[in-house]
Amino acid sequence: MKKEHNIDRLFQESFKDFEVEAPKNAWSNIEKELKSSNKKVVPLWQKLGAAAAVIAIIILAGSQWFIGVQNKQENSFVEKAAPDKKSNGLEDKSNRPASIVSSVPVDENDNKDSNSLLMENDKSITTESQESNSSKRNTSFGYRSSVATSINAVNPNGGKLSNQIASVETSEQTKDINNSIISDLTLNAKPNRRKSDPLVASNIEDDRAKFTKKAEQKSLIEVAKTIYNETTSSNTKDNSKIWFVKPQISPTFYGNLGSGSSIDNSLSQNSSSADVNVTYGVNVAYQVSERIKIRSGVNRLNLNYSTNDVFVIPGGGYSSFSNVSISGAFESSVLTEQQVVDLNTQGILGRFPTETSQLQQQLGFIEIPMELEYKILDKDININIIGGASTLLLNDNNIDITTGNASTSIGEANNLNDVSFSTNLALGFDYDISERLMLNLEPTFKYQINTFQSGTTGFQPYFFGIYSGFVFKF
Amino acid sequence: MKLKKLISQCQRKELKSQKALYELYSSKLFSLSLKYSKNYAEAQDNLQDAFIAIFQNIDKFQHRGSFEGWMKRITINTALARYRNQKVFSLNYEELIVQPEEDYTESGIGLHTLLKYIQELPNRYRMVFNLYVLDGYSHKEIAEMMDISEGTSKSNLARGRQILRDKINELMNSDSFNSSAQTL
Repeated sequence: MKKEHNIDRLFQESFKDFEVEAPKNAWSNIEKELKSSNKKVVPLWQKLGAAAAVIAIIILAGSQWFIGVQNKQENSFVEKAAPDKKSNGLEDKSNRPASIVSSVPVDENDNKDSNSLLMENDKSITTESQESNSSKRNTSFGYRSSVATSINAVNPNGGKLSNQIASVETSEQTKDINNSIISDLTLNAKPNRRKSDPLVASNIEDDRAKFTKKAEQKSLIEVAKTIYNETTSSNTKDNSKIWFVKPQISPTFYGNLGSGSSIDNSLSQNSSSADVNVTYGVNVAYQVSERIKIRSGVNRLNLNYSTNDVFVIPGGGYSSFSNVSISGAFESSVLTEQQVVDLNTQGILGRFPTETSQLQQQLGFIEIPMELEYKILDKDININIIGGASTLLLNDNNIDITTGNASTSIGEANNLNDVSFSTNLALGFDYDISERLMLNLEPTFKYQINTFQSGTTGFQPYFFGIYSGFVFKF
Repeated sequence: MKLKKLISQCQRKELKSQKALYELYSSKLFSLSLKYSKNYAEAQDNLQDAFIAIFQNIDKFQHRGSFEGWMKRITINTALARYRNQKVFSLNYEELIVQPEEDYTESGIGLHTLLKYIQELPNRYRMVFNLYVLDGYSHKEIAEMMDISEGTSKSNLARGRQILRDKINELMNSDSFNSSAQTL
């Protein structure tokens, strides 16, 4: 329990509502420092440009590599995750408390002649700090270059006033724990012109005698650490949320950027359409830095592509598609209109079939993406740009023929690579629901690279999805 | 809510918001700096350093406690940074010469004079006196903040009090003070 002192009460009551307007030029000094230390604000178009350039490089490099391995059927995919280089040390410029590092006040002021609120410029302490390249920084303000102070020179023998001018000059190159700060210190002390309490004087003398610059240097580092630790301790929990797991689902729109049919060139003139399918899976992201995440995961990908206006005639052997292995159970033939006309002309077909059918190629993949996510906007809704590549492992390959409502499998495509790739580009929107939960929406474009064996088709598939899901943060 | 928005904007390093925050709190933090510094110039340095530390670390503020308290703590720590490890005022508590106290409630001593007396205290005495008497920290907290023992904190406080008491007594006994008091 605190013991009440009259002297305490006097000061407490006097300083209860104590408020003094800050000096006019203080803000301009702070502003100057902030402008130099704040990260340069990069315009959005530059961020987008940079992100697009990175993605273009990834796609280009990926394409070259994939094309190189396409014929060799190499299935290796090397994943490298950059180790977390986040520095928690004081070297981290952005996190380093600015105020402490360059400030080296070393004086002991007991000037009785000055009014307290006046600047006292008759004595000086000059402190120069040179920091190593890694931490070079100038935080000197106007006042600091000539900090005004005074030191009582006290006669240690009597505690009386001393008129003797004590001049202490020290110059020392101090190696601190980082070997980075060199400090030159000059102290000039002048005599005191008033009576001094012997008790106080002896203590001040004691103070000065024990004072070392080494301790001062240590002080700077320790204080910087203290403030850093203090300001980051409450944040540690938040920083630890570097893993993001997102169960996701997306409608998938399949399309062809090339020409012709993947089944056979004879079908290239037929109309075709892609069905909308559903993709689902789990995405895992690791936060490398404030703006960058590395992502991977696994998705089940289903793609359907229909070729219209084909005809089914009973009996096999009338035609064959170059890229289809017909199942033994299918005992009919699928013909294009031209083939039907030709067979009819040759008198092989007795009658012209009237009902058209549809060839449906169904492909299923297990997709393993490896992507980089870059945050371009950090507001209530975060906007990310995502680029990367996916490995696609073929796990479903089927071709159906559909006539009316009836559907039968005719076999499977024989020109598909078991392992193929895609280059991915996406725009992600994140909305924080809570500290641990985030809603995510990602319109994504994926360009497939070597789905089909080289030279078998001009078909160039892509797919577009709108992935959405809840992101769990850990 | 306005403050929360302002903090968010400062976290995004928007200069206009940083200025608004400065204008909102500069007086309070400068007053605090004045108490912990030995003169006006040093208080300004402290204010500037503290605000830069605040802006550079504001993204770590989690809205879990008082924002003003968080800023004050940084301001005090900035001031303490200047004097830490000057282990020069160690004095055994028992050695103190305890003198009887007078009643100062009606002393009529001006605020500027009291501030001047605080500023004139040796650095560590000033820090401990401010922390304990004016800002309500315990000796245990002070010991941790200043990396000294609780005993040293207590002795520093007692020593600081004694100096202030002597000065105030001296002022109250001086002719000029008495004559001015009489004219009032």
